[in-house]
Amino acid sequence: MPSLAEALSKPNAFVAGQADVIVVGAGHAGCEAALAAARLGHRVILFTMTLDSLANLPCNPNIGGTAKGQMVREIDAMGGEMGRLADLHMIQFRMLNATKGPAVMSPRAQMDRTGYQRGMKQVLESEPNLKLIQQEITGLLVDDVAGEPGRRKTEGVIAATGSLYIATDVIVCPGTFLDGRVIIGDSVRDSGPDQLSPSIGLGEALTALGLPTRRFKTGTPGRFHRRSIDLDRMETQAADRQAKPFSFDHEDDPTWRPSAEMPCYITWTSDATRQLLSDNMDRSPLYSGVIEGVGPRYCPSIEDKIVKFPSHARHHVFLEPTGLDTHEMYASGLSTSMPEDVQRAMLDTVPGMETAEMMRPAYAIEYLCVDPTILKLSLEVNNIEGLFLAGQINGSSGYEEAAAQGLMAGINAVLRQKGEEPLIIDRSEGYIGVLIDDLVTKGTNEPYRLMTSRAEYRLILRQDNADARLSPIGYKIGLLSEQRYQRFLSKQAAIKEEKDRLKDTLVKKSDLSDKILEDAGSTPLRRTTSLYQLLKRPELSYGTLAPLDPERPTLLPSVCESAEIQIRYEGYIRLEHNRVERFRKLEHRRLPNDIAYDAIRGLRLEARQKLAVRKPGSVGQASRISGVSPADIQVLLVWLEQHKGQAVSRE
Amino acid sequence: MNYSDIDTIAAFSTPPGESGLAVFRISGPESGLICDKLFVPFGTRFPKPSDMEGYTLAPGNWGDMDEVVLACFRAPNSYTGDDVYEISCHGGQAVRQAIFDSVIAAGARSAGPGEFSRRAFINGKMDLSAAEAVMDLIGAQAEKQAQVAFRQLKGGISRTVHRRVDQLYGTLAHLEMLLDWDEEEERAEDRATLIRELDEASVELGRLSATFVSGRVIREGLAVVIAGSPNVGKSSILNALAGRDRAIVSPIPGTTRDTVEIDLTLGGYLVHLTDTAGLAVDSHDPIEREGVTRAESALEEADLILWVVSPPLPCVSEREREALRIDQLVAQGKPLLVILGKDDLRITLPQEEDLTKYAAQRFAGVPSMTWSDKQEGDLTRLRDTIITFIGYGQLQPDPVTRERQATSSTVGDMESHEVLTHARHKAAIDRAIALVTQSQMDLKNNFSFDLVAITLKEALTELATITGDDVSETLIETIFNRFCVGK
Repeated sequence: MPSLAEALSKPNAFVAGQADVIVVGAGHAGCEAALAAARLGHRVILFTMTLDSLANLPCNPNIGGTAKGQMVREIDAMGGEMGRLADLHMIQFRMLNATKGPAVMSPRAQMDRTGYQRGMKQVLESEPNLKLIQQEITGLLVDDVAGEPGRRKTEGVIAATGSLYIATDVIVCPGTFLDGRVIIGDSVRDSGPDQLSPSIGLGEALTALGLPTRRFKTGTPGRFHRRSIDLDRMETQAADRQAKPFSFDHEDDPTWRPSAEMPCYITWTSDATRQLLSDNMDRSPLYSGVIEGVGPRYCPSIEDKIVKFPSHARHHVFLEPTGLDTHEMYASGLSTSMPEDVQRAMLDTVPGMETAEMMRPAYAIEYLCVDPTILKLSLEVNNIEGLFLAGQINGSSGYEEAAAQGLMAGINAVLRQKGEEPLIIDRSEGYIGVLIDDLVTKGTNEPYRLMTSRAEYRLILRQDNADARLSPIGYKIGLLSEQRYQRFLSKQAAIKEEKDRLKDTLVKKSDLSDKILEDAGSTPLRRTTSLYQLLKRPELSYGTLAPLDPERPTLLPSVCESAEIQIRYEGYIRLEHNRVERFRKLEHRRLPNDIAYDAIRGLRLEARQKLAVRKPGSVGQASRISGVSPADIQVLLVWLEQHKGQAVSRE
Repeated sequence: MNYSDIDTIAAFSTPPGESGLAVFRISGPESGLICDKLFVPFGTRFPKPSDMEGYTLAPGNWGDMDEVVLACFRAPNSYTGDDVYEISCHGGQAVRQAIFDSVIAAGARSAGPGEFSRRAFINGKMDLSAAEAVMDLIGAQAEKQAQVAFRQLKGGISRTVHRRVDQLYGTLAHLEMLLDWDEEEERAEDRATLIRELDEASVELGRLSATFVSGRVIREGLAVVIAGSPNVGKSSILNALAGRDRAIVSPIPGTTRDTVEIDLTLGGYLVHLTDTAGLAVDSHDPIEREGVTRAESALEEADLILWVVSPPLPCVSEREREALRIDQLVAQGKPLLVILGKDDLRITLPQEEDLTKYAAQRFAGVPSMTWSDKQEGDLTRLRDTIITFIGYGQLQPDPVTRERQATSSTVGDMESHEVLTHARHKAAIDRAIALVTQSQMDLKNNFSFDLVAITLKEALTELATITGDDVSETLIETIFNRFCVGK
């Protein structure tokens, strides 16, 4: 990779722009990164290959879902954009897992896809510190750090036109466009999603920097014209009657509502589907060897499901709306890379889809990504100052996962320029922390999707308290307005006040209370009891107790929700907080970047090597690196105590 | 994984084995509260343990288990720098086990090797040279862990443990699949299925726990007690096993008036062998009666009882009494092997005196073997039976254990079991069982799935201290392998 000085020494060198932070790629990671850096007062240039397709949702037309929905609330609590825009463009809302407990209740919304894209473009265009430029970036400007062998620093980027753009911090988020290859049967073309051009050259630049790369694969089902699908024969999956916004800006706002309430429809594949696909398995690029990339197990193609789960007679298919201004419907569950003729034949085997008009075929896409274990938790590349990676390039998948990384990379690029400590959300503070720690510390062998089961402290990482967990951080960093923060504080005060009131409100045993409790499936009181205690009975709720609570004030729904959850699950939440305390103890034991692990007596060889390469930031992070054993951690702890206060460095 | 320095740890600080007194140490923030639950001082002079100050000694009762002296060293003036409580108790194995169990049940964690010292170091109670020693200790531990990991790669233990634990992973994976991937709300059958699956999982864990009873035995020795009516040939069994005439053998009933104890090694394991006086309760001889009392208390402490029956069979009432006593012991869960003695005489005896038929009728379901000190091979069989018992904690290993036995090269190749025989492992498994039971209750009481999942994950985390699994990763693998998730 050339340095800036080398690039400038070439004839006709042209510096087309200069900024504090450059963001390459305007997908969900890039948009959040650029907005965060710009809103923190830094000059930002955001590059996109085409201004007409930024913030695209080329696969599933929804935002949120299990764990992802909680994370969208977190992004919003920190001052990110995704939640706000999703609220403005949702055409169906569902709270998943409403009956399965507060830890897993997850908001999810279908998006008006083009509306979301337009909305994001408007937000970007109206950001004063942000320049949006259509330009393909094909190279990076990187120089050695004088006097520090092995350390390099970022100086800017090179566009496909040869123009140079200068910045000390560059956030690279090319998504599936990076060396993208679209596969349908035996048709293989270099391409990004939706027939958009792939990003060629940048991948080579990253490889030339010595970053370890590999290829992942993902795929998307076909899109079908609504008029050609027999929806009457399918089961309807309606929107929730009560929609809930992602953003705290819209919370408790009586004027907010989704743009529409469009249902989804469910049908099933049949035995004929299985037969057809089995007969044609030799034509599947997945099994013929055309596809080398590793695909996600949580989002298998239909042929994958049939091979791996031969005992399943049928698999469900969801027909989902993709927008207000289109008749295209997304056929979730029918993702495939089979040739077009097999795709068409398959429709005959799915009830309700026999006459479906295919507007876009299903395809698989392979792309280049980087092994994320070379990153710091700030998402900066180890040993290359100012180079950040975010989104699918780090092996993740999903719009929300990308947005969260973009937000954190944007914040951390700014903090680095200011010479401040990076902002790390830990595993007990948010799904954002779980996501980034999993990628950076454990690495991933397949496109990574966030799941609630990946979180150790699920009962604390709820959707209802994302603001309580992260708004103070967003405010401190400077991404939340004063007004929003004050509103947050008064909500927290109201929750506390209501909890106190419920503690002080006593219910006496009476015929009325007996009847109300029995009607709710509970047992009569034996002695005077507070509403607070009654609320802990699993069969009762804040709603069913209303008749026993005549003095109940009118409160915002979000206040009632949080107060109720905090009371009902108090015991479990307290236990989880105890576990978090223990976890933080190791997490807060910092490991200097330059420890000479070779010299530590008692560390096993494998641990020495892993620790020396990965340079974990804390003992907690070290403990999660595979190959580092509990005994190694004990050795590290003792060693740290021995060298407390001493200068620790490599000779 | 738990590297916490803020939880409460506990262990005996005196070496294992029978002794007059033993000292049990508890260290950590919860130690006072744990003692509050279990310790009752004599009289009213002493405050409750958590209110004790500085250095306090108090005599009292530990639960209903033992009379003890409790010593309190409040932080930071203690060996570890935490609050430390030391219980001086009687050194009998039963008492030691009961005290250990009570403290673990009250919330302490069994301390790992060197852990008190490590804590002392981290709390600044130890100097550098002492710390180096601790470091070496930990290093040695790491070495051992590497060996363990290697052995696990070879298959033995991890296969057995995993077979038991897989069921639980499967259930939690099912639950997690419902939480992370199911589009629909809870169905009534989900809950019923989960409860049923947990039943199976807890049976599996119970079996796993049962295979670990020999743990203490391997470290501290097996107490084998030879019992039976007078003059059935008990002492000759002891002498045969000991290989020398340690006990006096004579044809006069009641020769062994006191218990006779010897230590020997069988297959590399320490065995405390006790020969008892014949259990003739109607004796009027006070010395003999004392012998009987001692025999009874030896039976209480026994890990394995060899109950000897020999021809000629006693009178009917005597037989009844003997059968009743054997039933009692078996009902208490005492492993008991009926030895059908003087087998060399069998061919000379009338049909009604045939012991194998008698035993099959009288002690159906109780393991038995024929024995004569005059028959070559009987001693080997008896020794092998005891060694097998040490290895598997059972006289008749269940099919899975048998299979393991078949795959291991020799019965004496018990090294791999050593890993599983720590009280720490047994404690972890028992805690896991308790958590599984709790989650079953929670399911029945209509607790939401997310809470049930927390409890089940804790159970697996307990088990991971044995298997070394990364619970999250194993769980995610299980979800993907068993369920067709994703749209």
